[in-house]
Amino acid sequence: METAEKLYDLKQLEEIAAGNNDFLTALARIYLNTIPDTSAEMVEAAHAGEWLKASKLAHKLKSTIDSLNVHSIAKEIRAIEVDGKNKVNTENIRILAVKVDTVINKVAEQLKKDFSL
Amino acid sequence: MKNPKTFKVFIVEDDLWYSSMLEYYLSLNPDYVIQKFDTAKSFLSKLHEKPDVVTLDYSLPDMNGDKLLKQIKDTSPDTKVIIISGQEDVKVALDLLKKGANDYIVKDEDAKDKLWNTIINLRENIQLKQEIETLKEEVSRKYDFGNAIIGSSPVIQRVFSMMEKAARTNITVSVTGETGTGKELVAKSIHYNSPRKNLPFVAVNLAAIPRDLLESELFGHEKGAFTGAISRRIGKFEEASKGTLFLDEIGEMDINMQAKLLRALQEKEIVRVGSNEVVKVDVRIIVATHRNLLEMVKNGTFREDLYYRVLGLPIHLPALRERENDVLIIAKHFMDNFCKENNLPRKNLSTEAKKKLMGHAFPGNVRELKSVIDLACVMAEEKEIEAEHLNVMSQNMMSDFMLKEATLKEFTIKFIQFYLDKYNYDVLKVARKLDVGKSTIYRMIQNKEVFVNKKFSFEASFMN
Repeated sequence: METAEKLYDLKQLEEIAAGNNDFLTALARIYLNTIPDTSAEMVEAAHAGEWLKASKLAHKLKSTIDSLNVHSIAKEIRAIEVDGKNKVNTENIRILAVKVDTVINKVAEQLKKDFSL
Repeated sequence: MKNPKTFKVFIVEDDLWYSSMLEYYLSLNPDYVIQKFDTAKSFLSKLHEKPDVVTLDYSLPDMNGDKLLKQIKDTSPDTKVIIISGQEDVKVALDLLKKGANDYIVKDEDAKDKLWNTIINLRENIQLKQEIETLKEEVSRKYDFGNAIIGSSPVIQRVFSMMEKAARTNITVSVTGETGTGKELVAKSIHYNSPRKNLPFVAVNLAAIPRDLLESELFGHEKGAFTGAISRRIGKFEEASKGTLFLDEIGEMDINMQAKLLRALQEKEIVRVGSNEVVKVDVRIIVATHRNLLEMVKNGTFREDLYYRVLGLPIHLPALRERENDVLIIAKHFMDNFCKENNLPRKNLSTEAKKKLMGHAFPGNVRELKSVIDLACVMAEEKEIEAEHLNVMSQNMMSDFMLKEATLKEFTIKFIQFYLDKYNYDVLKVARKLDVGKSTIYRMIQNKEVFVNKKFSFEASFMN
């Protein structure tokens, strides 16, 4: 069976946690409780043509994506933020939003498994 | 009272993930007390707790960063604000810094370290400011009228009254008096009891500055204004901006410089040496001199217009010998201070010592008294300071004697005491020198009119 590629890493957070695994688990829980919902909201906003809203939600997701080193969508989330604010490349925003949402949910699955949540 | 060690940090961030990360990281410092808020409303309801630092997300759902920053500055101006934002917009950052934010940090992988260091720096800054405030209060207490100038004689009470009047307004003050009477102390006392007390007090001893450097010292100079002027330097007038400038020994100023000083005082502006630019100054002036300025005006060595400009509210400090029992009050004050500072048990003055002090003219005034008392505290092995411990020998006996009016008997006693001190209490020698009978001197010793070394023995002296 193929092992799925790890989409995130905890390097930055482990530096902060300094061995405190409870903290890391708490953060993982926060991710599971908040990030997928925000991402879904962003996709909905993009489909509804609410570009500014999509931009703000991308902005909100950006720091979490960066903290977890989710490199595969780092550029995409920024593109949604900037293009959404400027209301350009709007068709692309919809595509990118879906891609980001997919990865975010995969990260959620991986966190659930890795932290037994 | 706030525990000086704890430091209150409020995190205002609607992103739970990010705020949890920040909260955990900052709580690694046990001195930090952290509270988290996810809306502007919830944060504002607790702003009355006056946190030391607030980390503020620029894009909160219920209020933008600009408006929230303004509210913080209006309600709790001492609170430091660090904006943390995902926006890498330099314009926004600069704008917020101009509006009072202390720092702007972008949410990247270095953000937590930058935040950590910024908070450390802000905390040090706050602590330094608190130390300065404490020191200012201490200085204020030190120069409180009752603490700075000590005495209860009617002449000194009149001085207190004048000082209180001077402290209430910005009127120029001229302080006159012999050397060692406390002119600078009066100037400082007036300043630290005035509305300008939290602003600079700058003292300049005009006698101590070479003539050719005085203009630069007072008004500053530009780079290259003269040989040695390697950079711009601000002068005492600018240094004392909004505070008090104390010009001590104003009688020593040469006539050319007096004209320049007059202009500065009249126009309230100065020009640095080597510059054409006029600089406005706002200083309160206090001058002091031991000379008779009016006499100097008559002699043509002091400008009449400058005299009347600096006269203001004149305060004359009486010589110590005119202050009656203040000598003993001040002596006790110096004794107590010296013993405290040098971890010595408290001392007091013997009756003979008191009489000796009261009988001395103190041409050096309070400064001389302090010197005498400090030495006496060291010389006295026991708790009591005796007359022999008081080194009040003077350089010019005649002028000292003539300083203080006295009866013929008092003068006689002084003369004999002077000679006894000088010749190591050798009564026979003193009697020969003064051409008086030795029994006269012995009688004065027995009547305690004059004082001799404890080791003096009547029997031994009769055998000589």
